[in-house]
Amino acid sequence: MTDAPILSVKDLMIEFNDHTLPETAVFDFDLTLNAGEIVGIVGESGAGKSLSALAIAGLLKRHSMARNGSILFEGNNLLNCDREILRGFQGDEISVVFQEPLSSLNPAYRVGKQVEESLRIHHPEMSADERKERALAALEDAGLSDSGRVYNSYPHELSGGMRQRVMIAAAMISDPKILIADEPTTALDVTVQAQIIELFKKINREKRCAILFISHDLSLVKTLCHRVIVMKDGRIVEEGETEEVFYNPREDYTKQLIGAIPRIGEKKKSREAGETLIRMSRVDAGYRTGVSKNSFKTVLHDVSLELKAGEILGLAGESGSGKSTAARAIMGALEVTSGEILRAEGYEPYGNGMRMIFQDPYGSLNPAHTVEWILTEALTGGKRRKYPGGASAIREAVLNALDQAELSEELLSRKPRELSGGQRQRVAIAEAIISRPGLIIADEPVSALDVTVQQQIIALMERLRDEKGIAMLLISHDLRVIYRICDRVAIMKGGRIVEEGSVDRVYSAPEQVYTKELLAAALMET
Amino acid sequence: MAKFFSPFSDRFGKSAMFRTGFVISMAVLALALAGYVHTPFPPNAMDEGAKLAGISAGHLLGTDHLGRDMLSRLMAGTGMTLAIAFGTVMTGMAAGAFIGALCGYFGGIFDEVMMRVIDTLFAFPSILLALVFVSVFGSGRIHVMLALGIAFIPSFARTVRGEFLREKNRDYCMSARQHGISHMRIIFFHILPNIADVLISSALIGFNNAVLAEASLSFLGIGVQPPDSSLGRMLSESQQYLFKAPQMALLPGIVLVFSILGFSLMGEGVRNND
Amino acid sequence: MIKKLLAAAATLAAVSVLVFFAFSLIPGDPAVKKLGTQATPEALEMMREKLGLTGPLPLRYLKWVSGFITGDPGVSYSYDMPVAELLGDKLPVTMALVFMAFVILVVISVPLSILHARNEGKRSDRVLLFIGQGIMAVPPFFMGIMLTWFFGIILKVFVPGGYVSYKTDPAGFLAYMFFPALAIALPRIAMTVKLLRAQILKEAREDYVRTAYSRGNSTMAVLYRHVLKNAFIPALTFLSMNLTDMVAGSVVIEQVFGIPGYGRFLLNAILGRDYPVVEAIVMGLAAFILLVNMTADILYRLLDPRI
Repeated sequence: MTDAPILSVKDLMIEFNDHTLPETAVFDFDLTLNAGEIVGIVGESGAGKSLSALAIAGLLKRHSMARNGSILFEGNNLLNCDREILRGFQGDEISVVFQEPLSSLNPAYRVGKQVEESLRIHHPEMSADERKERALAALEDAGLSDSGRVYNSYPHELSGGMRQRVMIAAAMISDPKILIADEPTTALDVTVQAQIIELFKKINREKRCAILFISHDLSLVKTLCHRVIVMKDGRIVEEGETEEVFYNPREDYTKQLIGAIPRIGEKKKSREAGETLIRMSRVDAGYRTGVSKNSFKTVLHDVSLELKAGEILGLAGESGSGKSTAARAIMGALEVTSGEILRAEGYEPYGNGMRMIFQDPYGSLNPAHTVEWILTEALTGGKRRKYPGGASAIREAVLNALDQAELSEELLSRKPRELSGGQRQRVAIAEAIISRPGLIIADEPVSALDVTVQQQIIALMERLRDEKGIAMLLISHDLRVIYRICDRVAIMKGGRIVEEGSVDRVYSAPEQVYTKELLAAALMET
Repeated sequence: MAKFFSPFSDRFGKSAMFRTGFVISMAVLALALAGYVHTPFPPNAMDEGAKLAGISAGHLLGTDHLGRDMLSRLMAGTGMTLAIAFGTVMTGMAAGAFIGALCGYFGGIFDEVMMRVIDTLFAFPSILLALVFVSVFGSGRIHVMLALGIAFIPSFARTVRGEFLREKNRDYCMSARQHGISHMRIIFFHILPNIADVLISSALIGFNNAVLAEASLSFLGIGVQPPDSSLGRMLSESQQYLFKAPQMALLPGIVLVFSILGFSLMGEGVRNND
Repeated sequence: MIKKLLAAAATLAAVSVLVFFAFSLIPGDPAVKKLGTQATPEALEMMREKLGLTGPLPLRYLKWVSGFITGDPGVSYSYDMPVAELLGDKLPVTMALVFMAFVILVVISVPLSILHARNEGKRSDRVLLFIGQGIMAVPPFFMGIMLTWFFGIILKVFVPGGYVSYKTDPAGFLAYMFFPALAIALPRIAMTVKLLRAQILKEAREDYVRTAYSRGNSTMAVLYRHVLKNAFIPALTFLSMNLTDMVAGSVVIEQVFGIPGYGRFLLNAILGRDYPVVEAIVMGLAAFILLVNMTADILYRLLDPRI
């Protein structure tokens, strides 16, 4: 499968020069990449994995600099060789695929021109017809069968998955020896993600191209890579054959990372659900996009859901499936055109019984105010003078909520930007529970967080349910998170509920084809 | 109010641009304020014996074509120009921010109609709008302030509306609604502090444009009327004597440039502080 | 597109209503102003008739609008001459001035902004930023006075106030127009360069630039092939705004250099309460501004594939 090393990186050190004091971001990074091999670099945000990969591709931005070490490729040290030599490799021998396919493509030019660009730079002798022929073939190799149309499209006219295929076609058109993929599937839906992973496997198999795959998602790395490098805070923590690292990790951090992947298959304890809080029956709902009469857009079709006290219901699906819209319908922010939503007392729109938690904890906390102000505002509804018990009662309730969310009192005077991602999400949870609701609607509450932090927030939510009996509606694209915490799950697609049932039943015996596909893609058990 | 301005020292103070601008503006402001309290001569008093005089112990910056003391006129003129600019920005910002906040936050038909009007007005250069308004209201300093104030409403309304449109869709506003917080409280206590930077910077830039606009109108002879002094008027009077007494043009011109420069540097400093 | 045209027409109609009624409702009787307070009621009535001030307002409005469309926007109170005739030899002067200023603006600011952005962070960049900030603070009319003083009085490159008509001496006319055009253009060049530089640098930080580098493009190739197109498309709106602003600014500059364009005419009309002239000029400007904006919009659509 693998043979001689084609790239070797030794003692690479990368510094940030953005601020007045230089800050080292990557220490002593070593890597050997053999021809035809797939190596994965995993780690949480800030681990230095992308920086290391970009340094190899010669793409460090002006504020970060490789200070030390060597990157040997075909007899040249890419760190200090002539710019012309480096440029000769870029796009010809070493190609890169980035995370965000939309912003990584130039919006002003047609796709075909961008796919061909490497050929135009490195093979100026090639005729335009020849280039086009190669570009069409590359697009087809990347799984775009409608290559003629794609060739003449602008990036914004394609879907996310297609754009990433275009990026891959552009990278592979010159048959590079090394393909560097920097979080190439993070911005994509799970089913598309699975297809792109398959594409990488095929490229590796058919073109014998070595791949350096950077990802925060351990399960992707596990299915794709031959070898794995685990990074934390700029240093390599552990390195080895994939099987070895995953089934027999040596370092504590690696164990912690692997432990943070919720496992599927453990039997879940069943809980007694209480009375019904909200019941949606056969609801069609939507919103207006403008002032005119026909601007109404129906986004939910025939949706039935039941939220019961003390139960956690998961709402799963890909982007655009209507999960968040369903939550907004429950909050009462949508116009219902058919069917009905029955609500227990206190669970009417803007009622005191339910609260919502948003995906991005930075956006959901008012950046201009302190934690104390935010919590007080949530407790009193902006009418702090009228709160029974006055300032001391408010203070007590705020401290209590903070304590529930496992936060210390000293955070009270901080503003959101002075908090870490995990702390912010805890403040958001404190804000939600401060008025003692019976139901929390959480829209992707952990997707913006690193896996180890994710783990802690999930544990906190579980504890709130167990101790306070708070019911939850958990919206997530991550089927593992849902498995870990939910009692029941509903799968959505195109604004409809495709399948609904207990988590045990849906995960072990899905009835619908789409559910099976989604589960297979998400859990990567192929 | 104290809370509103507290970020001033720790965030904006750092920017070198802001600091330079602050020093320049303060110097210009000091000149104007000193002029309100005391001028060496009454600004309109003519000294028949000393027309177009140069620098002397009596007249520190010389005299103009009617023998009026340049320094005194400069102080009074700066005061007049700044006062009109201040009034203009206050009028434009108060009305513009109010309209923009309501349009951006509530949207709907009111917003559609209002924005059509505002956009149309915005397409006209504000100096032109002011010209039209002056021709309707008549000239004179109060009329100029009013005309310019109205002419400045569209740009403030557009800026504030854009900010509110963006902020209201951020999760913290949706979050505030679920806690039962009223719309007015969300507008003034939740959103407004978040756009303070933008407001301050557009007020500073607006102030600039107002200084420029007042000076232009007075220069054209339809702003501040004689014998009152303003930087624009002084420049307008200087034109015929450019050959004999260039200082008559250069002095008010330099003060004018510095007042614009000071506030624009401050505005830049605030804006670049992300 | 047709919707846009209709919207522009509707806007123009709205402006015309506003302008007409605003000026019709201003207190004061033009007839009295023209004949003096001693005039007999009969004479006043005749004068009103002559000035088209009798009859119901809406009817007068319709008459005025139809006149405007057919190229006859009324008769000046002060000159007793058709406004169209009066404006006929003034508009070309202003148009030449603004066009010249716009050409100077584009010719200087585009290359300068590219150079400026390429040197980001270097000493020359900082010096240019500083100079730009200074020039931006100089009002065009003071710039005009300084140019007159320096080039006209000290260096004697041109004769201040020595305007030559384009009818008698086209070359002399253009030569005289250079400094006024420069006075209008200079502060705007500073502004434009600053904006374009920021726009180029903003684009240079986009992800697609990294992609372009990853394919082996040189810095120059990235700048010219990838960044500039994206950077200049949004600048179109700014340029079109500059054009309209310059038309407004020329009112002041014409005063400084003694140029008989529409600006002085407008000023005298405002001071002399010659409303037909003011109305006609305001309407003409509105039409011009809408036209410029529409053109910019169309260009924008042609160049930006996303819209």
